[in-house]
Amino acid sequence: MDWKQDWIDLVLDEVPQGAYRKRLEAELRDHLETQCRAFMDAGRTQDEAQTEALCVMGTPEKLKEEYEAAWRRSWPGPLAPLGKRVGAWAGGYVVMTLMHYLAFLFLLVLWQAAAWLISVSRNPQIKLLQDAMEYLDGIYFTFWFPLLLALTAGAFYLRYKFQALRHPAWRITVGLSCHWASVTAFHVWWYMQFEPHLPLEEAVTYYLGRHVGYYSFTFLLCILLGVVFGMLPAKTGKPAAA
Amino acid sequence: MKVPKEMAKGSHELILLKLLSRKDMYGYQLIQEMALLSEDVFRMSQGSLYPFLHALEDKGLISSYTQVVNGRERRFYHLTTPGHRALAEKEDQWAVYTRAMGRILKGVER
Repeated sequence: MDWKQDWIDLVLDEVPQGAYRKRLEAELRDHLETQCRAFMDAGRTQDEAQTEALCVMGTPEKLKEEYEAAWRRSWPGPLAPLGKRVGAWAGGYVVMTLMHYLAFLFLLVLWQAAAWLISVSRNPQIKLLQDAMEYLDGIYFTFWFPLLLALTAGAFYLRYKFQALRHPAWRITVGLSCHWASVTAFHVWWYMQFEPHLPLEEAVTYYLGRHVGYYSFTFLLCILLGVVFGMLPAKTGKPAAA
Repeated sequence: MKVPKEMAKGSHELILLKLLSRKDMYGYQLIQEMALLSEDVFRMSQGSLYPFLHALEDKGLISSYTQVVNGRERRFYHLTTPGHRALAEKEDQWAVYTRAMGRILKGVER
């Protein structure tokens, strides 16, 4: 262990391991190194520079108290890490639900357009288009409004959290993917209510195969959104003007 | 002549906000600028600077970001918009305070 780490460990004795301690350690190490170098540039030997650098930092006992107090101020409580994780996942979940509804609206418009085309044309290819659109009716099964309403209130809160906490992209993507997987499972379950004779494996293969475009599209959307939300600037990020 | 610590302590917040209003700085740089501009009158224990800065950050008056300088990650502090407002308010208060104190010390007649 070097002289800086010894001193840092001493003054941060009461600060537990974690993000805040890591930050303090990095700042103090940088400070000590810069100060020591400045003393050496002024003509001190390395030993003298180290001693003086530690001296100007202040009394370790007093600093220990100050750092402990700072940590207590900054500590958000035992549930905060849980809140962050659940926040990111639930946020991703809600965003994905909303995206499903947008996709549904988009497809509904397409379906209406196809229906209109059929009404004005007798072209058999257009009839095929209508058939293809009907395959997309699986998205109707996203009408689980009670759950959606319960989560939508959180969506706005979590939208803010994305900004403030800079959730890593992977965490948001996990939330989005969880949603995708649960919606997909729900769809299959719903489908099986109409085809009770089908075994699970066959139902899954048949149903997902039938809507492969929709599920591929929404899955890719999950990944894309995860990356986009993960890249949103954080409150503590470098300001644009700086 | 040295100024008592207690007297200087009350001014640290104003000084740090003012320094950061000029440009973003890191901890060591703030200490140096403070000592240089005040001709060593305002000095704070260097180790005490960080809890002080973090408290200002908690209040939303400053924000921080890391930047790699000479291959090493360094944390810079930046004055936020609420920080600018707080600084303006503190400067006004300081002007009132020094004017009042000046009048008393100089014995200005009513």
